[in-house]
Amino acid sequence: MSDTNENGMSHYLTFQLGNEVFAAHVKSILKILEMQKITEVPRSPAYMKGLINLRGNVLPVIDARLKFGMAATGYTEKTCILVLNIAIDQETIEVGAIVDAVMDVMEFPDNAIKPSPSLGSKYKSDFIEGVMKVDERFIMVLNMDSVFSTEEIIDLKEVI
Amino acid sequence: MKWNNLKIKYKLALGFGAIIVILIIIGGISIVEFTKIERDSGSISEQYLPGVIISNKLERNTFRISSLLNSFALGKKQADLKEAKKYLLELENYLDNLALAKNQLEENLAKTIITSKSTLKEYRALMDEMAGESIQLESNRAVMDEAAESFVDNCFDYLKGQESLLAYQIDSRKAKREVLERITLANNILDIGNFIRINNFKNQSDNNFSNQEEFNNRFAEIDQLLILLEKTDSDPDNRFYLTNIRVSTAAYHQAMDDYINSYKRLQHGNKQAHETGSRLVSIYSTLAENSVAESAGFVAYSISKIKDSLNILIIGLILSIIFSALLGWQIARSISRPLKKGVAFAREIAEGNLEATLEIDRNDEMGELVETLNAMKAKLHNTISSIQAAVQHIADASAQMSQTSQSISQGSTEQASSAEEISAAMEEMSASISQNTANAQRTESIAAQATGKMKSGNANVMDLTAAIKEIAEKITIIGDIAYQTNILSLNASVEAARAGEYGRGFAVVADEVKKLAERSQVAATEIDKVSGSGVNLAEESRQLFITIVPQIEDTLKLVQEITASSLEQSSGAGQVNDSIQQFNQVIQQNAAAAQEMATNAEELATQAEYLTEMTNFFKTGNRTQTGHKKESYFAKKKSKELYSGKNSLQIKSTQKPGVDLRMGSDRLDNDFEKY
Repeated sequence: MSDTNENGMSHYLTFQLGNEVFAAHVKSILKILEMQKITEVPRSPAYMKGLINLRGNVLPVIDARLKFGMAATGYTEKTCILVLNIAIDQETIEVGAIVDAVMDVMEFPDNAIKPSPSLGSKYKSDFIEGVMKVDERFIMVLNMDSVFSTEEIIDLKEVI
Repeated sequence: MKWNNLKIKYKLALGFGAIIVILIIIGGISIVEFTKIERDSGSISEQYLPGVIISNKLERNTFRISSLLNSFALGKKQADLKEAKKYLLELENYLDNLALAKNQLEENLAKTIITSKSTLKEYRALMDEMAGESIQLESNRAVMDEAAESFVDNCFDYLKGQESLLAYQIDSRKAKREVLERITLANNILDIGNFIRINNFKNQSDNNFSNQEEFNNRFAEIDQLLILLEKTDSDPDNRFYLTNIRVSTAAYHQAMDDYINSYKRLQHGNKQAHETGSRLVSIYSTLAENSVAESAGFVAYSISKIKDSLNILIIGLILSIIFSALLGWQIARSISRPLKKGVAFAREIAEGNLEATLEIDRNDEMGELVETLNAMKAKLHNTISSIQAAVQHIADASAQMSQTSQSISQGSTEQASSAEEISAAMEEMSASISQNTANAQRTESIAAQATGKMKSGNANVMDLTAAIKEIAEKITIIGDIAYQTNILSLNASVEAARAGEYGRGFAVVADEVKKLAERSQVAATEIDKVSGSGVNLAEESRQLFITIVPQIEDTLKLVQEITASSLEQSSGAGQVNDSIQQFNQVIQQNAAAAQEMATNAEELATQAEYLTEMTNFFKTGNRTQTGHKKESYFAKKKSKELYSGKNSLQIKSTQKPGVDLRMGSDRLDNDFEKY
């Protein structure tokens, strides 16, 4: 992590998917939006929910639950869209990700993140940086730049 | 099925049917027979009569031909022969025509035609022969006439010579006797010749040549005389004359023989023809006889047939008459006998003997009638028996009735006193009912007030519920605002974190904002929860009001009903009082009625006795005995009558207090009395 401050601390945004709590570094978070109407795009992957208008720009939106292989559920009043800024191959792209709820912005020391090979095959391990233990709960820290493969990014760009 | 069991209509139908069948059979046979006779008569006219007619015609023609031939044979007129031939031809043609229609001819007739045709041929041949013979005869006669002439001439020539010789001798007075003798001889010869000729003509005209022998003798005489002359005369000239005379005499004799023979042949031919004709006639007459005989046979056959038919008709008619008479008698008997029995039975019943019986074992209409009559009798028997029993019962009952009417009188007295007690009780009841009515009316006004208050309370609770619901809605908006504020603070935190060291102060503010938002959220949630339970409570209260209001309204209604009922009870009590007075009156009437009933019971007993006498007219086997009963009954009745009379007096004495009670009764009673 390059964006650590001088105290060796980093800010993470925590959010919920099902019963699990995930954390993402604030550098890849641009904005948090309330759930709104999504325009569907035909012949797109299942996790690709469609497009929304973000201050005059077109923003593709994906369902994080589907992307991470979790079962789909209906949206609640707590459902939010995270506007992500993903850097890949010297390119940045903005993507909306639907999460069940946004919880907090927290500051952790970098060394609090423990690598966790024992997570098994439930999640794609290359976009999980590690796991943190907070108040007897485990929070999975995600590397948002690795969540999408190159092909998926190309797909997303084509959608735009 | 037995004859007796047949229904009369079937009997009649069977009888008449049988007669009709017999008549049809007789009629059919007669028709068949008469048709046969008609056909046979036809065959007589078609077959046998033609035979007779034809044979008659043939016979007639044959007779005609035969007679013509006869006349021809006698008169030698060719015209007769010609006519005979004409008839023969006609006959032959007729037969040919018949033969052409051979197929239609009767066998006998056809055979006759064939034989008669061959006979006719013979006939024709004979006629031809006769014709030839007649021509021969004519020529023979001519020859004979010529020979006779030459004989006479020769005789005269000789005589002339002798006479001239004699004259000469006389003149010369040398008359010789022998010349005179010769003249005499010659004259004799001439005389014999003339005699023969005259007789010959005579025979011709008589058609009798039986004296031919005489002629031969005469010619022999001529010959002897010539011989004498020849002896006496030697003169050559005379001898020449004599020779001539001899020759002509011989010729004459010869010609005469020929003529006679020819004549005989003709007669023979005629005879044969006559025989042939007779044969034909016999053939035809046989045919005619046969035809007539066969016709007669057919006529006899027809007559016998007619006789047979007539016999069948007569026998059939006699049979049907006998059958009809028997049937009629049988049917009449079958109707009249049971009718007689039925009449006797009905007469017995009319005389009242219901034990009479009618026994006829039949299944026809009579059987039904008998059955019905018996049923009627049984019914009558039952009815009379029942009446008799009933009369008994009536007699018993009238006695009981007397007794009962007495007890009714007694009961009436008790009833009157009871009615008085009831009247007093009713007065008390009336007072308590009035109290009830007043209480009920008060309860009613209280219940009405309570209902009004409950209704306004209910409206208030409803308003309260609406207000609490509105608060809950407003609180939701506050919750939403808190949530949005939370998201805004998170966005701010993210921005602050992204700004790094420069955003640290801003991060603190954002954190505070977040905390405020969370507190607002918690408060809103709690208010929401509290207002939710408030709404529930208000709702429950409202439900309670909703259930209570109708209950109170029901109560009000019930109280109103109680009030109305109390009023009705009050008037009812009055009516009951009135009714009791009426009741009392009725009791008096009952007592009077009981007395009347006792009188009626006596009348009833008298009537029952009369009825018993009436029904005893019918003999039913269970005769009613009312005599001794009647006496005991009347004995009872008399005592009863006295008893009931006393009772009625008793009732009258008890009536007075009942009337007084009525006088003291209230307004309602007076109203009731008007009715």
